[in-house]
This record gives sequence, structure tokens and C-alpha cells, in this order.
Amino acid sequence: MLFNSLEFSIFLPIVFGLYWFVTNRNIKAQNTLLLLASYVFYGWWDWRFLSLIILSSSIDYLVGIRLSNTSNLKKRKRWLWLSIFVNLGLLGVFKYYHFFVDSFTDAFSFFGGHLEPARLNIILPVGISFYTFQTLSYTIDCYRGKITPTNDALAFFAYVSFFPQLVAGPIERATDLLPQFFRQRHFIYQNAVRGIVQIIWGLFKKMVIADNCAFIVNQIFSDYSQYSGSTLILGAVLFAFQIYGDFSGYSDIAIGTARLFGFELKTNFSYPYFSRDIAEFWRRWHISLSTWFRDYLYIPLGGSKGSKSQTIRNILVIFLISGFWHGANWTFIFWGLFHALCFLPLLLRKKNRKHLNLVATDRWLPTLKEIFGMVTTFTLVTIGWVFFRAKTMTQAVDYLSIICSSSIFEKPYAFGIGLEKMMITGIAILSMIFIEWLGRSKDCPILLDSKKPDFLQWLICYAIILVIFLFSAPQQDFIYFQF
Amino acid sequence: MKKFITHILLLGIAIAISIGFIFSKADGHADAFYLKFTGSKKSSLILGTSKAAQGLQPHVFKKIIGKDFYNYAFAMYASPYGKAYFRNIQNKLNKLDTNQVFILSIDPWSLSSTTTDPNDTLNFRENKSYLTGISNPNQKINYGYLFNYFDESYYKILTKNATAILQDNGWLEVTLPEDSISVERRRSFTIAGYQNKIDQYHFSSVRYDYLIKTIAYLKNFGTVYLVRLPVHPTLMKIENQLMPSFNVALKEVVDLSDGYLDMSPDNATFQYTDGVHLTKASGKTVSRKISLWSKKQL
Repeated sequence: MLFNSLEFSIFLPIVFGLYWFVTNRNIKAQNTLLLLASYVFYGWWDWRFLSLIILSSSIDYLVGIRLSNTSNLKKRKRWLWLSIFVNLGLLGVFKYYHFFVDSFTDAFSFFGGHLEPARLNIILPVGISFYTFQTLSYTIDCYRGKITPTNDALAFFAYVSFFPQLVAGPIERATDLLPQFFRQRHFIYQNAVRGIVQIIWGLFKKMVIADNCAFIVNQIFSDYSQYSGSTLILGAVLFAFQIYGDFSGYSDIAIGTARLFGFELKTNFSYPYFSRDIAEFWRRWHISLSTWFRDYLYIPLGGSKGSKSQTIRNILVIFLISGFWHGANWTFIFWGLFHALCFLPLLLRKKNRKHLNLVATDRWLPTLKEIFGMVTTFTLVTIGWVFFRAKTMTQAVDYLSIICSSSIFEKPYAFGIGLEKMMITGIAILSMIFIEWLGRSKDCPILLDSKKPDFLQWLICYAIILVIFLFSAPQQDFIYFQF
Repeated sequence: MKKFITHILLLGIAIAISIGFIFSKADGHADAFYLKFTGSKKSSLILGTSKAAQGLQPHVFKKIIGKDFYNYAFAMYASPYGKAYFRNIQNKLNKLDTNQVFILSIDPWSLSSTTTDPNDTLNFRENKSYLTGISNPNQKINYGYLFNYFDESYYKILTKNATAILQDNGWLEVTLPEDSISVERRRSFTIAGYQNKIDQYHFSSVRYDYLIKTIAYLKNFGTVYLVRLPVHPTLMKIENQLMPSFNVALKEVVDLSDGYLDMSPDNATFQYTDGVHLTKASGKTVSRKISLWSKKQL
């Protein structure tokens, strides 16, 4: 079920009503309702894949129990490895099988051999990368003793499949989300309004920004060789906003929806395009994934505590794996490598933690130096997005070669795209940047502080819903579903 | 909770009223077909695909034949002859008038199917279109169409600067640059498109039967004429690849109708916006020729 679909607009009020009016006196009843609702939400795509979530949840629940029953380090390690093997095994089969088979066949034929590998008719289950990492964090934290394994199966299964963030994050740690399933939830008006406001802002980013950009980006990328360098720059920049609107929009809707049920989820995006360098970008983009890699991979590998070469290796490992996590394609791996290469100079010069505060704190406008930093970072990130969006490495390299040709000085060619569409998309993007700049110190930029009258906040909601209604483009899937 | 529910309901009501207001402003500028699904039932229908929708001008027919014609033609993907179009024609037709004149544009595309089995009606291309989805094309405001089949962003309803304007008589008036470079660019794009899809199209006997059904049904309400509209000679070659002996194949249909005018011999004498669709001026000429010919037959 898509957040921006008619089905979800019916599903959400029904679950909300049942949750607060029917099951409100009993946590177990509320958790049961959330679990059932989550399975309906997920099963709407393909009910057969529910078995994977149930399998993954069951294994990790049992591993957690086993870990709590033994202090024998060897046994504990064995149980942890079982969880890692099952979870990554499922991910490997469903997401990476064909990539490995094809890459192996290509490598074999490069040396003159010929292989006819068995191809399986595998469909990628929606959100498998997200819930796999979520359940893995539970068993690893149990193993490390950071969390007491739960014997409340209902709460655990509801935690793994919690529908607001099940298919595209934020990737929640058991330490943060699971305890919320044990606590009594109370309806608080201000929190519910915050939830609604964040949902509306997320829908604006998805339906107005991302979907309008997608209309133009899809045309440019599908026929890139026909366009001038200047048009391809336009395509890459619009994709940068498309993916931001798409993914951060999804996270906003997820966080807002969870809030309606009395849950708090992690902030997943914190105005990443206002970053002054790549290191800051990665502290603001897909925060739940970057911190996951930091805590469960980078630090266990030694982080930046070892020698220079070890640090470089660790950085390369997490960025390459992060790229590979996004998809079974060399383009994603190169995208990871590209970011690693942009990040490493900062780390080696110990400048990676230079910008920990918000840009232009207590000021309306940034300094020239800050503007330069933001533009440079955005340019680098956009170059990276070309690899992310391209279907093959050849396409990405071709795309960038055309940008670097003399056709960069030609007027962007808008045949088939339409000037009006371009203008609406441009105005929508500029409005979003302006609103986000003004509200960059808040979780959600259109959220007014509680001293302002309620009426004003609802009026803003009304205005944005109307903008969404008038200017949204034909519905597109969320990009991150494929991951 | 009570406060929250009240505020959400008020927000919902405000949004619903605003949407209702915006939808009430939808007219011929909104999109190419919306208006055809609104208003009263119509007499003397002009039927076919986009060639007829853009090319045949009801006001020209009215001037010569003296009847109120209504252009109820749509597009190649939506209104080939078949169950969906037949059912919609039945719903749109004014059945109280038995002295009507019907103009049916026919060509190989409107009798062909893109399915592997050309008679696989379950997978006909129009099954997901508005003609299948909208059962009542005579509403004041057609919410079903606007919510489910309106392809544009809704702000288009409020702006009046469309390239294609659907007139009250159903004619889709398209204004495009007619300089030779623009026309040539559009034509080569269209030719490439048609060349690519020629292999996907196959004559469908089910569509042919529905054409017969449509003619037989309309004859209960007046006179039925068939026309084959002109296209650019290069596009004609592609059409001929699809059905080389079109006129022979349609003999039974032609015999059932009250007359058939094949305008393809005059292909080269008209101007097209993209090789398929007539320009406004040529459309007027073609409409005039068909009107005069029909008047003679009447």
C-alpha cells in the first residue's frame, strides 16, 4: 500500500479509529491491532512475502530468547551468527542472486569461458533491506548486552513490522522503538497535530517535488544521448531534488504516521542539501542507515582509531557496502566509492567534524563561504546521483561525458517536456528550499511553535493540501521501495 | 481527542469544498476529453479515434447539413471499435431523436488489437481507459473522470492556456506551430512511433463485429456514413502494411452502412500537424467535403 494512495487514505483513519477508540485501554490489544494492520499494509503488495517477515521475526525472536538464556560466549556467538546468516541469506537470495550470477558469468567469459547459469524467477520483496537491518540490530544489541531480549512475541513482531516505517525506514533500533511497544500510549493533541503536519509536508515533497521532477528526469535519462550537456545538467539537478523529495518525503510521512499512534521515530533527514561538506551531508542524509553502518560495521572494524591505512580501508568498506545495500548493480557500488573518495580527504585532514552545527545558526543568510561550501557539496552529490540513477556504468559515464562537452553551453532543450511543467517544477523546488531554509532548526519546517494559535497551523495545512491537490504529478512509486 | 477530530473534520470539509469548487470550473481547457463525459445526451455523433476528434468539425457539418453534430471521437488507445466504445456510445446517444446522421471514421488502427491474440478482449488496450471506467458520460460534474482519468495536474482546470481546447460541440481544437521545421520534427517523431508499433497491431475480428454492431445500432436512430480520413502518404504506407486491402476487407460493413467515403486518394492534398492529424484549415476542408457528400446521399 502506497502512502500517497486512496487505499492508504482509507486504511489510516480506520486503524487510527480502532486504535484510539476500541483498543485504547489495553496495550496488548493495541499491539495486536498494529501487527495485523502492518501485515495488511505489507500484504497489500504481495501477501506471499509476509512469510519472509514472519520468518525473519521468528528467527530473531528465538535468537534473542536463546541469547538471554546463556552466558556462554561461544554459544552466544553461534546464535548471533545464525541470525546474521539467515537475515543476510534471505537478503542475498532475494536481492543479490542475479547480480552475483551475472557478474560471475561475465568474469568467466572475459577469460574465454562460457557458462549458462541457472536463473531463478525472483521478485525483490518490498522493503527487505530495511526490515532485515532492523531485525539484525536487535540481535546484535542483544548479543552486546545493550538491550534485554524480550519474551513478548507480540511486541517484537509488531516492532519488526511496524507499518509506518516497514518498507522504507527510518531503520529503527530496537533500543529506541521496541520499548515504546511496552509503554502505555496516550493521545496528545499537540503530538497528533505534529504528526499530521509532518505527513502533509512529506506528501508535498513526494507528490509535488519528486513526482514532477520524475516526469522530466525520466524523459531526460531515458533518452540522454539526444540532449545537450546543459539539459543533462538539468536532469541531474532535478534528480537530486526528486530523490530528496521522494525519500525524505517518505520518512516524513512515516514519522508523522507513527506519531498519530503515539510513537516517536528517528529523524532520517535533516536538510542535507544545506550541508557545507560531504561529511556533514552524511550526517544529514538517510541518518538511520549511516548511523547503522557506523555502529554495526565501521566501529567494529576499528573506525578511525587504527592506522591511516586501516581508517581508509574502513571508510571504503562502509561506503562500498552502503552503495551495494542500495541495489545489486555496479552503479550503486561506484556511487559508494565516489562518496568515499569525497569523504576521505576530509577525514585524513581531520576536517570531517568541522560542521556539526546548523548552517547560519542565528542568522537569516549564510556567509559567502557557507554558500560556496553548500554549492560545492551539492555539485559533488549531484555528480554522484548520476551514477545512482543510471542503469549501467556505461550510461553514467556517457551522461557525464556529454555534460563535459561543448553542448553544455547550448540552451537546455525542452522539447517534449514543456516549459510550463519546467516552470512549475522550478517554482515548487525554490519554494521548498525557501521554506526549509526558514524552518531548518525544526524537525518539520512548516510546524509552528506551540505559542501560535492552532488556527494558523491548520490554515497552513489547508494551504499545502490545496497546493498538493493542484500541482501534484501523476503518481509514481517511491524510489526507495526497490531497495 | 475530541478537539483533534473536530479540527480534522473541519479541514476535510474545507478541502472537499475547495475541490468541488475547482472541479466545477473544469471546461474544455482542462483536458482533451473531460467535457465529453459531461452535459446532456447528444444527437448525430461523429465517432472514431483522435484523427476524427481533431479533424472533423461539427460546426461545419451543422452549417451544411443543418443538424447539431457532436464529436464523440477519442483516441487510438481508448476508442477503437469494441465493447467499451459501443457501450459508451449507447449511453451518450439521445435516443429520442430518430432522424440523426452519424459519421464513423474507420481505419486499420481502430479495428486492430495490440494483444497477442487479437481477439483477447480481456486484455484490450481500452480496458483501462475512461471509456471502460465511466459508465455515465452525462453528468454535470464527472467526479469519476476527474479523480481517476484526469491525466494532468489539477491546476490546469484553473488556467486557460491549453494547446488543445475541447469545444462544446466535442471538437478538439489543437493549435500547434505550423512552420515546416516544427511540422517535419513532429512528423518524423510520429512516423518513427508508428513504425515501431506496426508489428504489435493485428486485425481483430471482434472489433470488426463491434463495428457492425455499432452501425446496426445507430441505424435505428438515423443514417450512418463511413469515412476513411486522409493521412500523410508515408503514414498511409504504414497503414497499408497493417491492412493492405482495407476497402475489400470492409465490404460487409460498407454494405450495411448508408455510404462510404474513402478520402485516402487525396492524402497529398491536405496538411497535417504531425502526419496523422489534420491541421485546423485542412480539417475544415475535409469536414466540408464530407458534409457535402453526406448531404448528397441523404
